[in-house]
Amino acid sequence: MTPPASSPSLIIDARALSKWYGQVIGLNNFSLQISPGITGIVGPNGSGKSTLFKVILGLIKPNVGSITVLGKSPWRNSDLHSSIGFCPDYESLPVDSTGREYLTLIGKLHMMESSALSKRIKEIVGIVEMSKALDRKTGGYSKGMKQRMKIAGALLHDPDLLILDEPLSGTDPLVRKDMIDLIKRLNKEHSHNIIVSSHVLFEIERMTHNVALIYRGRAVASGDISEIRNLIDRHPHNIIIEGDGTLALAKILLDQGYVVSVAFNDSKSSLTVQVTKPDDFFNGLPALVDMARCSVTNMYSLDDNLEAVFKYLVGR
Amino acid sequence: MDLKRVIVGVSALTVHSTKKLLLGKKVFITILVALFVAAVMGYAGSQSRDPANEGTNLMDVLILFFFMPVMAMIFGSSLIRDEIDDKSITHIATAPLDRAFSYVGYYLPLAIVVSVSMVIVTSVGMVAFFGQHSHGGDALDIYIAFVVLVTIGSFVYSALFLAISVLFAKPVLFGLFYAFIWEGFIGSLPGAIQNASIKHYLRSLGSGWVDSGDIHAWNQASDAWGSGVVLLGLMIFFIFFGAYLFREKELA
Amino acid sequence: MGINPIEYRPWKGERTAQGLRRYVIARSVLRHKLKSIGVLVLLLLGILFVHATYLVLIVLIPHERLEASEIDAYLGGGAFTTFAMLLAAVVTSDLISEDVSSNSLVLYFSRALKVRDYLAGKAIGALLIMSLLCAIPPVFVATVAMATQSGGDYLYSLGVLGKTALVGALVTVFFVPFGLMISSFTRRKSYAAVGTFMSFFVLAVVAGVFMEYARSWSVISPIHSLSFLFSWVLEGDLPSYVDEAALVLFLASLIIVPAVVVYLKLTRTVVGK
Repeated sequence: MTPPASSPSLIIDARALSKWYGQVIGLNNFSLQISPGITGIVGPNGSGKSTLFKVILGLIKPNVGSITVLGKSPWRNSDLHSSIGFCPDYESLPVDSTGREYLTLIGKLHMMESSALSKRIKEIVGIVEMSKALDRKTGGYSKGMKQRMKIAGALLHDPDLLILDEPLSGTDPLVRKDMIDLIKRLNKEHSHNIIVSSHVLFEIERMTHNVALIYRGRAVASGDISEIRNLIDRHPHNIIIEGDGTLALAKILLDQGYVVSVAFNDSKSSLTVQVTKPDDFFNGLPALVDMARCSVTNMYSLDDNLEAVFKYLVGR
Repeated sequence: MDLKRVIVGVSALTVHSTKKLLLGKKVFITILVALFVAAVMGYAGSQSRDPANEGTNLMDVLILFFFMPVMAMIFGSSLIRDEIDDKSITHIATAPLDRAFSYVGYYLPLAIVVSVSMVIVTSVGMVAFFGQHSHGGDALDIYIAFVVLVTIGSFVYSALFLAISVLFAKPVLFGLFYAFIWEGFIGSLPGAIQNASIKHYLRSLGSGWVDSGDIHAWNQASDAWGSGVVLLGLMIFFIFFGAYLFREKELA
Repeated sequence: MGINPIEYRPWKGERTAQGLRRYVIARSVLRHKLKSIGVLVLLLLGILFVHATYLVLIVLIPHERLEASEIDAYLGGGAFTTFAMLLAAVVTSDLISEDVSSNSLVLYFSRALKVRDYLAGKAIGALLIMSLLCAIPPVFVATVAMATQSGGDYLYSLGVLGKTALVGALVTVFFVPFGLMISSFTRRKSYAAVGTFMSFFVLAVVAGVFMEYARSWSVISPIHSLSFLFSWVLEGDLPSYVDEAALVLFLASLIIVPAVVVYLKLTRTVVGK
C-alpha cells in the first residue's frame, strides 16, 4: 500500500497501523504523528511500544495501514537507516565482541572511514562514559554498561533520528540522571530528533513535555503532558476511606459539591468516594472527619497509576 | 544503489563473521574432526593392502559425504540463526545496507571457513593414510581431486544450509534430515531419483576426476561438466533464495 | 499475653526429603515429555515398527515355547536400538541444556538440592520414558508369546522372559547418560539432540570402516555391540571375533564415563571452579 503523502515536517506519520502476531495484536488501528524534537512514548508493558519501533525501523511490516519515517516508507528501505540510530530495550550486543569491535562494525556498516571512525568512537564512548570498558567483551558488561554501549552504537553515525526504547531500564539513579541530561543535550545542542519510550511517566516528563500514550496497541492520547494531566484531573477520582464511624462521614461528604458519589464497600467500615476535585477533597477532609467524629485508619486513591489513566482514556 | 556502500558494508560484515567463525568455539569442532580423521585414516592406512582404492573410498565415505555436509550444517545452520535468536542481528538489520547484501556478507566467510576447514581435514587424512605408503604421484592426484571436490561441496552445502537457517527456526534438525535421510537414503537409491541430491553431482564430478576407488567405478554418474554446471547453478540458486528470504524476513 | 518461646532446633547434619525432590524432578520430566509431540511420534513409530509387527507374528505363528533366538532376532535386528538411540537423543536433549540456557540451575541449586539428586531426578524421568519403548513392550511381547505357546515348558519360557526384561532394562539405561552429557555441553536442545545422534552415528561409521580390516572392531558400533549383548544374555553366545571383556568395557564406558563427566560438569557450573 503506497503511504499517503505526509507533511515534510513530520518525523513519523503512522496511519491506521495494525500489526498482529497470530492471535496477539501488537498494534491496533494505531495512528500517530510525531514532530521534530524529543517525543516520549509512554505505555505499560505489552502496550505495543516495541512493536511500533520495529515497524518504524522496517524490522517488521504492518499488516494494515501505512507509515512514513522522515518522509519515506521504512519497509525494505535500508537507505533510511543511515538517518536513524536505534537503541533497543533487549540485549542485542554480540557477546564475543569487545565494545570497540562492536562500534567498529557499526561504524563500517555506516561507511565511516577508519581514522574518522576511531576519532568518533573515542568521542562517543567519552560521552557515554564507557572508555575504560571499551576493550572488554560485551558479554561481561553489567546491564547499565550494555545500555550505554547500545546508546553509543545508536549515536555513532550521528543520525537525524534517535530511537531509544526504554533507555533507562536497568540503570542506577545516577546513570539515569546522566542519561536524561544527555538526551536533552543531544536535542538542544546537536539537533537530534529523539523518540524515547518508557512505562514510567515521570521519567519521560523529565526529558520532554511532548508525549504520546499508547495502550493495548492504540495511541490513546498525544500532545503536551500538561494537557494530558488536565484530562486526568477532569475525570473523577476514586478514593477509598476505611475506619470507624464512616456512616456519619458519608452523610457529610454527600453535601460537598466536589463529591460525585459515595458508596459503601463490602465492609461497612469502608467507603469509595468519587470526587471531581481531588485537591479540594484532600484539603477539606480533616475538617470533615472532625465534624463526623469518626476515625480514619486507612485512605488511598485508586487512580494514581498509569493503568487507571489508560483505562479512563480508553473509556473502560 | 551505492556500490561503494555495498562493498564496504559487505566487507565489514565478512570480516566480522570470519572472526566469529574462526575464533568461536566451533573451531574446536574442526580440530576434533581433523584429529579424528587422522586417527581413523592413520589406522586404516596401517592396515591397508590396496592403498589407492581403499584410501579413495575412505576419503569418499568419511570426508566428502559425511564430515563435509555435517561441518557445513554445523557452521551454516548457526551463523545467522544464532544472531536472530540472540537479537544481535538488530544491528545488521538496522544498518544502511540492503539485507540481501548483508546475506552475502554472511555467506562468503561461511563458505571460505568451511572449505578451508575441510581442506585441512582432507590434508590431515591424506597424510595420515598415504604417508604410510609410497604412492607419491597417485596420492597427489587423489589429494588434488578431493581438495577441489571438498571446496566445491563446501560452497554448495554452505549456500544450502545458510538458506535453511533463515527459513527454519530449528535449522539443525532440518539439516540433519537433509544430510542423512535425504542424501543418505534418496542419494543411494538407483535411478533418476538420486539426481535430486547434491551428493549425486559431487560424486559425478569425482567419478570423472578420480582414477581409483568405488567413486571412479560408479556407473550412475552424470556428465562431469554438466554436474559442475548444476552445482554452480544450485549454489547460485541457494544464495539468491536465502538472500530473498532474509530480505523478506520479519525480525520480531 | 506472654512472649511465645522461640524454639531453636540445631541442624544435625541430616538432609531430609531428598527422595521427594528427586521424585518431583522426575515427575516434571515425565509430564513434560509425555506432552512432547516428537517424543510421542517416536514412541508410536518405534512401538509400531519394532514391537507391534513382532507381536502380530508371534500371535499368528504357532510356537511351542518362547525361544531365546526369536527374541534375539526380534530385538537384535538393529531397528530396536536405532529407535532407542533416536528416542534417547530427543528425550535427553533439553533436560540440562534448557536449564542452562534459562539459568534455571540457579533456581534449582539455591534450594537444598545436590547435583547428584538433580541428575538422578532428570535421569529417572528420562528412563521412565525410555522404558515405554525399551523395557515394557519387549516384556509384554514376551509375555504374550508365553501365554500363546502350545508347549508346556513354561519354566524355560519364564527364563527367556526374565532375560528379555534384563535386555530391555539395559537398553533403557544405555543411551541416557550419554544424552545427558551432551545436553550439559550446550545451551540449545537441537544441538544436543543432533550431537547425541551424531556421536553414535560416527561410532557406527568408524566401526564400518575398521571392520574392513578386523571384524572385532564391530564392538565400537553401539548398534552392533548391543546386538552382541542381546545374543550373549539371551543365548549365552558371542561371535568368535568379539572379545567379551572388550564388549563389557565398551558398553560400561558409554554409561559410566558420560555419567561422571556430566556430574563433574554440573558441579563445576553450579559450584564454581
